[in-house]
Amino acid sequence: MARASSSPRDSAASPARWVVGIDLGTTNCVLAAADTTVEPAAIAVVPIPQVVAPKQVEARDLLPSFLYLAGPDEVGSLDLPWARDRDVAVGVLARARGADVPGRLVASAKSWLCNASVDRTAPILPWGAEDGARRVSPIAATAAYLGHLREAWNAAHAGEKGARLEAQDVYLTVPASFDAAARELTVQAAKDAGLEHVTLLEEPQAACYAWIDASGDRWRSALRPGDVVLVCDVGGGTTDFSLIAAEEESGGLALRRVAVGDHILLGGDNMDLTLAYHLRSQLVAAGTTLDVWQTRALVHASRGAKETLLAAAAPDEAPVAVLGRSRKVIGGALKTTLTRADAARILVDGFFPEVDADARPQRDRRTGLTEMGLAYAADPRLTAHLAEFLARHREAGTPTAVLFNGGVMKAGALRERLLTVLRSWCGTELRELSGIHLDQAVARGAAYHGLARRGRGVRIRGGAARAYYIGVETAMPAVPGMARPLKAICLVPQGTEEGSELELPGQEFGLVVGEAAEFRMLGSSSREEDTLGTVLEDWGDEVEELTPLVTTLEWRDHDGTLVPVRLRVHLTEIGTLELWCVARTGDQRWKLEFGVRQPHE
Amino acid sequence: MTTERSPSPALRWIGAVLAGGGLSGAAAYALTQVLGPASSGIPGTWQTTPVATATVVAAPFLAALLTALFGGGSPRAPQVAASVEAPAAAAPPQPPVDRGDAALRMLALMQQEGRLVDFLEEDLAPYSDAQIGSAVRSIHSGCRGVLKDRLDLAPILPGAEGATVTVERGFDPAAVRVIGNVRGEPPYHGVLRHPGWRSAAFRLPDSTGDRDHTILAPAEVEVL
Repeated sequence: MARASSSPRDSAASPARWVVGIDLGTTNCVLAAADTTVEPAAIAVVPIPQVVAPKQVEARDLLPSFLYLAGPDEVGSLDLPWARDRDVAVGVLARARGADVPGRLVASAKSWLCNASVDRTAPILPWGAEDGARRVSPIAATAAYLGHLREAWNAAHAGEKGARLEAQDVYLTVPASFDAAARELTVQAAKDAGLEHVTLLEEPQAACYAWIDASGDRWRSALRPGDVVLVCDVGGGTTDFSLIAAEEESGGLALRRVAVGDHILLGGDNMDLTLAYHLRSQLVAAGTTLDVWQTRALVHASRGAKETLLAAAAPDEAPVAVLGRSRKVIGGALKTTLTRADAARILVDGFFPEVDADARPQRDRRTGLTEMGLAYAADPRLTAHLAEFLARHREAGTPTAVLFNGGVMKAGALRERLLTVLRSWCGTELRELSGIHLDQAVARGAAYHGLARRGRGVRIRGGAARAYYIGVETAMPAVPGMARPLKAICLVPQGTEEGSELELPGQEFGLVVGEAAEFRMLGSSSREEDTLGTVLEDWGDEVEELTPLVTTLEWRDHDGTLVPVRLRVHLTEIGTLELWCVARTGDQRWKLEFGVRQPHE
Repeated sequence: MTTERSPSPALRWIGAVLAGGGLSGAAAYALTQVLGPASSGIPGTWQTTPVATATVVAAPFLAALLTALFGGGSPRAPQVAASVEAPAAAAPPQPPVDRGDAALRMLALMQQEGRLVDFLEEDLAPYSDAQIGSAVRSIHSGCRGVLKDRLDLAPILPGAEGATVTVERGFDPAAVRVIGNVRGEPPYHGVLRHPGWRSAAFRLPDSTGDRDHTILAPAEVEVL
């Protein structure tokens, strides 16, 4: 039974001592924990030992989400206090070493995990590595990060009874925009890493929890019933929007996540890259040519210049220097200057232009940001993506407050611009909720959520982030060369609470025992009004096709028989979606799996 | 992570480099200019003397490094006795420190983050001040990051430069250097010329395996 296997923990067992939040970020992982035997349970970020240079280990608050697949001669220089002779490295060294040897570096595994156009269980990373190179699957890379965190925790708690990470309440964050298949794969990666029981939590919600935790008791006076908080999370690789409404509930204040956006593959890395291209063209115009190494150093230098120029009271220009590669640091140095005007034009106006509330991102255009394989957002204008998100969720309410999260939002000029744009759309009363640590908020918030589940804090209710639909081909005469039109039947209405079990009424499917069956799955983050069984025939771009569900009906001695089944769906407590085919006649049921091994198209 | 609390070779090395390189008169020390009895507390009337010039290590960088690595002197926690709320921190038990490794690893970090060895080894003669200046910004920010990450720097004596301080009897001459018109027994009243630097903590990554700390920067070979 799925129920038993998916419940977070055997309720008869004593509660775990630690509540742990893990931010499994595209570019950095952070682990925060709270000891529930201490009153009040304080949430702290746990530094993670990692290889920082060959044969050197140091604990850092951030574990960069990079996996370096080492060559044979490097084995022995990547030892960790708890493991010897490793042939992979995760963290600071992986990021630095991988930049030198791109063919051995796995990066952005998380973005691959939600990329339905590839087989996410197949060894495909590093993407574009040459034939015969070592490769791992996106799931294996994710499992490597989680495995590192688990081993680091367990090494730090060696000898303490019941202190292993797999015995704690672990909350793992995912983008709100992750669809059911990507969530399932994240849970699978955690299992592969030895974390059998994890509960998923959406990152923007975690950021909101972090704000509640940081505000202490003041949050109740900072928000009033009717407030709608826009969580604007711009990370290194992805951007995620959510709306959270404050509601009155039995005299108190309750929070409900009312809308989530689509997955936008656009973040701080794109900005640094764009700035570096600008600086490179300046250098090229001055007659200098840059090799690959210098270009990379330029990206690094641009990041520093960006932070200088977009901070409060910034100077008019910042010098950017790339030191000589050889021993001639000065003789070989390249020098240019980034002006604040250029930084503002490229970053503030390029990524956060002042647009109208009816602006929409362009979808067809491909820009220089495209990298083979990952579906980067075609339109870099984050404000246009934001306008579209708010327009789609108009009935969820107009934001009255905004909470920024993600490293990019450290830049004061970008926060200012977003506030200006949002105020022009939503009214000048829109205020900023501040006080969270932008790098650590998600992990801290996830741990806070764990405490809240134990009754030590406020919980944000949300339910299913998307509505899910099953695709059924309409019964009409086949026309050569034309696919039959697809009907979408709503299986999971948006906002369905975790733990719910729903059965699609009236609709039966005939499945043949012994044969593989495939169900086309669709999802929508914007159709809030659909209820169980709603049939859609025309949905524009509001509904998108997801990873299909597959199963093979196995029923001894019934091969070849046609079985009428109904579809039953279970939204699990840990945040995943399970679909079952239930035979009309009796007890037989079959679980549908996401067909991640057979990418469609 | 290794945390060493008191003068390890690397710290002595840094102090020696700063002093020996002439970057500051007495960077590793709080420098107190003692005033004449009649002019106590009135800046501007004090007399400069040749004693004020630091002469800890006269030769620059390499000599300083060698002194730090191989020079004698047992490490001990500097004690300060000054009436200006001098934090007389109790010296914690000192872990045994490998004498050379920490200094070399610190230097390797400075090279890794700020290309310090390359910079010091480069002949500056052919370059203009502007060329050097732009490169130094980058070197400075890299090396400064290392100092920030690895040491907890704090002044030895509190107070702004130019403030009036009293150096009590029993002060540690390694931590406070009195200069100028020094006469008789402490307490000495004077003007704080340099508050000194102390590193309250020193952190280095842990080594695994048989890492060769004499490697300051690896050779780089690009496979084409």
